[in-house]
Amino acid sequence: MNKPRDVEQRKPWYLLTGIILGVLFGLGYAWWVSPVEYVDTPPSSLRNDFKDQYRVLIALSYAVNGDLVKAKERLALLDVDDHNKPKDKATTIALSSNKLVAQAQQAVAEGKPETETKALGMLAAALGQRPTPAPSLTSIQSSTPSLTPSDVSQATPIPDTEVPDTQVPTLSESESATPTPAERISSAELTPPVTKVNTEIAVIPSVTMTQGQSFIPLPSTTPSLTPAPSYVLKSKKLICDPGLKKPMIQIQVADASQKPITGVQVLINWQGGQDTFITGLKPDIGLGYADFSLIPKTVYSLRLMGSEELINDLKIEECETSRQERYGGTWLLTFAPP
Amino acid sequence: MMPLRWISFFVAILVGAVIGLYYGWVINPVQYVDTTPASLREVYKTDYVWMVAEAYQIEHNPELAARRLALLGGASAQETVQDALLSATQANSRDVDLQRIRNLENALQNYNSPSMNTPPVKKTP
Repeated sequence: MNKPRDVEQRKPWYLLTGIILGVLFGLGYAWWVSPVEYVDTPPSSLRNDFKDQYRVLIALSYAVNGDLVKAKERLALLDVDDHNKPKDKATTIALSSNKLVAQAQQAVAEGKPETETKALGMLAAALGQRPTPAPSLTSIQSSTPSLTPSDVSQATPIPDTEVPDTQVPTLSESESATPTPAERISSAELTPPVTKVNTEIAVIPSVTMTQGQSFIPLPSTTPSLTPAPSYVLKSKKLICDPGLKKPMIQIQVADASQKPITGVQVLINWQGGQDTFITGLKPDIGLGYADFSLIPKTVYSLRLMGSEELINDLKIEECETSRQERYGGTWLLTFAPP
Repeated sequence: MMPLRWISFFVAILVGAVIGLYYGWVINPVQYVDTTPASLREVYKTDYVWMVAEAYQIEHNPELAARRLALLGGASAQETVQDALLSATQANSRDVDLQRIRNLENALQNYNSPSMNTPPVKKTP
């Protein structure tokens, strides 16, 4: 007589067991048997070292075509956050700029090719929200001893803003389908540009565009085949500023019209070592600025890449505060064309 | 166990499976991180080839270009470039852009692209 009562009082654990088994089956199927497949991944999902390579390509591409809008689009696709939530444009550009600067510094430290470091530096400077000098093809072409006539004809791109039928492919994370390259290119609505009258970057362009959305290409800087100028030392000053945390060599490079020059590589030697650094990697201080920290009791000599002039006997010189405390001063070296 | 209980048990399993699948596919799907260029969407792969062609303009290093293109996982670097050239031609791209890709194609003809095995993609459920 007790048995039916037991059955009635038994709680429905079998339902809970069933749900747990079902959940386990579902998760196992969804995660291992048939997981979500990401075959059409965006650049933002790339492994970090591939992202670095992608960033180098973006910088080199910018050095060739001078198209800052396209470079920004590409960087935006690369530097969206891990969950693919698009940030606002300013944040994305600032993030990209920081990553470019860090990568350029690392490339210099690792002795990567000059073309790479300069291209990264120039793009970082260009993203510094200020107009930058046009990337000079020859200035980053040190690995190329000479240009053949065919090279010249190929290496002189027609400025995008002066070619009415310019095809500017747009890339967007928001493309849900997988368009063919031809579709992508043809889908970019083209606005016949006007004649280039001003190279100042006045507007930060949209970095993500959906298909069919138009954009007016900004006047882009034009790579030129002008030979890179050599620079000479114009001034050498010892700066006694206790506010500077450590003694340094500061470099400022400008052209004849006092416009700062980015991407100038500086070679520095001391007994038992040498290093290179590059102008423009700290755009917040100046596009033609670079610095190098000095070690006590070490004598340095310094030369700008492409320049014959050697600046010798650079070492920490002592300065004194009003309270007669001693500290290391900073050398400020200013370079300009002869 | 009564038939009704068996039915309820299997219904519970089904409900659980639906919950599990929804969680595994929608709420917290497998996320592929650390992917390689080989898994990029076709449009990005083509853009990648364009960038390699532009980089070649200043680097003049077919070996480096071939190594970069090998990451895309095509049959060969040359074929990858030819596909990009075809796409660019069909899209009536600028002569200067087509010429850059042709330059790269010509350079690769004299260079045997290396086979590059890209590391497997990590999965994080």
